[in-house]
Amino acid sequence: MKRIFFTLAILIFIVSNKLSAENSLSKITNAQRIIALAPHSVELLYAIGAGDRIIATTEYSDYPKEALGIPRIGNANGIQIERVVEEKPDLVIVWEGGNKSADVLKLKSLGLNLFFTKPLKISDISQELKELGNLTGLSERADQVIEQMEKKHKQITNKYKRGSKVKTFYQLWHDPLTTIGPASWSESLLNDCNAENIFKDALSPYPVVPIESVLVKNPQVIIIPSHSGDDETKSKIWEKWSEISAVKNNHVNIIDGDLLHRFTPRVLDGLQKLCDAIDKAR
Amino acid sequence: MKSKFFFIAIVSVTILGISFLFAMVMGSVELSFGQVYNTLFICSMDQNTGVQNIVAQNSCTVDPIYRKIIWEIRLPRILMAFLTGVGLSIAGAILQSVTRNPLADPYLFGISSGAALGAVLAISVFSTGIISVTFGALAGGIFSVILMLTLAGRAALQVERLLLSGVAVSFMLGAFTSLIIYYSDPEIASTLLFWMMGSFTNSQWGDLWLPALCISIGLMLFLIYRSWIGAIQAGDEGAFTLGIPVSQLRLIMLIICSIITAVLVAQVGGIGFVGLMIPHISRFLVGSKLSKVLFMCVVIGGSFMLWVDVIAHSLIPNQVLPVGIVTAAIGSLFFFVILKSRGRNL
Repeated sequence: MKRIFFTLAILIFIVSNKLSAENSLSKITNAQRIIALAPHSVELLYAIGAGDRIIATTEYSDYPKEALGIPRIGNANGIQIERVVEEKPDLVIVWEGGNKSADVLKLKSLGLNLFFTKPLKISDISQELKELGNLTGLSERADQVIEQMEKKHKQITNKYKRGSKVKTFYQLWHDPLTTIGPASWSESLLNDCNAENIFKDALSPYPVVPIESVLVKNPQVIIIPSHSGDDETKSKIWEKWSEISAVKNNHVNIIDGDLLHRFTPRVLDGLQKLCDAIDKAR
Repeated sequence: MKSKFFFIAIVSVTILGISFLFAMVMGSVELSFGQVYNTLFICSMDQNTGVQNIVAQNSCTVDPIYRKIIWEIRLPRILMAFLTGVGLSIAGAILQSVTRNPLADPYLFGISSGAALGAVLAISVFSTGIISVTFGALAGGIFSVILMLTLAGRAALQVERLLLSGVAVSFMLGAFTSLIIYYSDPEIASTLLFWMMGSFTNSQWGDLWLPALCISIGLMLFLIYRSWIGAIQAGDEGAFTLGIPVSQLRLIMLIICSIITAVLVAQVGGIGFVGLMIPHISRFLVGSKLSKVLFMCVVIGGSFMLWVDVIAHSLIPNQVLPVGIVTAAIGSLFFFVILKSRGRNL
């Protein structure tokens, strides 16, 4: 009985802690010392004019160029929690799924003001820009950015709305052959281009798939986002499969992965390239 | 007793045949027995002869893409799975005999750690593709054995020290691998992780001959020296009085097993459990006579890996599971069943 009571007490403590943390975020209207633990958040803050308030970030935060000068306090493998505390931030932007969950829990327990980011589609970026605008007192600038973004986004989606859906294979990685499943960021991009992800019925967001399935599904377009490693090896695996319509008609495309996978206004440039590449197969 | 072995042998060979058939038709793309038969025996004749005769054209009814799936993806893959099962099982059986250690397996001497380190280096440091993962892993595996023998020195002549040196090398190389993975890109880390958990997916026809050659030669040598190995298994002193060069023979067997293992690990990654458990299962079934155990290792090890590959490809639709996970999961269950049924007999 005592034990149950004790467990309950801890649970209540955790829940109330969480609630209080969320509540405290609503009080922030003019954050000045921001730690952004995700490259895309850094970019969004620069976009709304709050770039100079970032006091620390993680590796790979390389856009815009000024971001390279921000001190680094961690990477995908972990955050230096002590440094975070030492910097006395009034706002910490945490990337759900990008930062290590143990680190996130620790930051939460320290009572820091956390803002969670986890964009799954382009409209989530607008939402996030809006919230960041409120937190930094730069709503006006944020609204301008949002307006431009949404205009451009609408232009692109309208342009490709008509016409048939193009069966597309999105090759996230070649070894093991990894693609995207439903409800992933990249699938939302494909939908915006009026394309159909051939693995839209997969069970996980980033499934490892057998090459056999790709052959049988016979995609019209293959998209290879480039990140690290050799692009040639990534596309070379298709050379001998001329039965696939994408290979036969030369619709294997390599597109800059930074443009496609950064949740920032720049994604629209990536989207434009993606949609153009897909449209060629129509 | 002899007839019992005969019975078990026939049953297991039949199972192996059935396993081959099922491995051909099952997977992420379901094929029918008819399609497979058609592809292997009728369509291929068309291609070979190049004659456009009407009868052959009518009889070859399989879509070219399925034919290509069978020839280019499935056949090399299941042959590689078979070879892996066979190679690791016989290497495990021999190592368990010559070290008299029931926990000995092909990775005992740090080969998988060495191969992993080689693969990691090939992928992350020489990422330009000059060195293939296979070559890196092979070099790493061989390096680990050489390192172990050099570090152990004369101690390698004693079983216990040999085993401990292997463990030490394994940990040492494992530490380097972890370090490199920790500092590499997430995508490269995922490639490495998938590789380390084992996969037959990338098997090509050209990859098959080296493992096949090493396994055949190894198996032949094991059979030639089977009575000597049997004597060592019974005890070093006894073998010594029979005039057998105990330490030398043990070292040679160790090196042969290492070569087989290194060649396989280089192709398919680290697949645990098979080399440890299949020899035990074989011994449960046919007793400890080495020639029988080796025969059963070939048959059971081969069919076991075929099923593991089938399950890895068909358990979750449109998705591949790493082979190592399936092997360990099914293998341990299988082993417990046998352990239980044996316990009841005693």
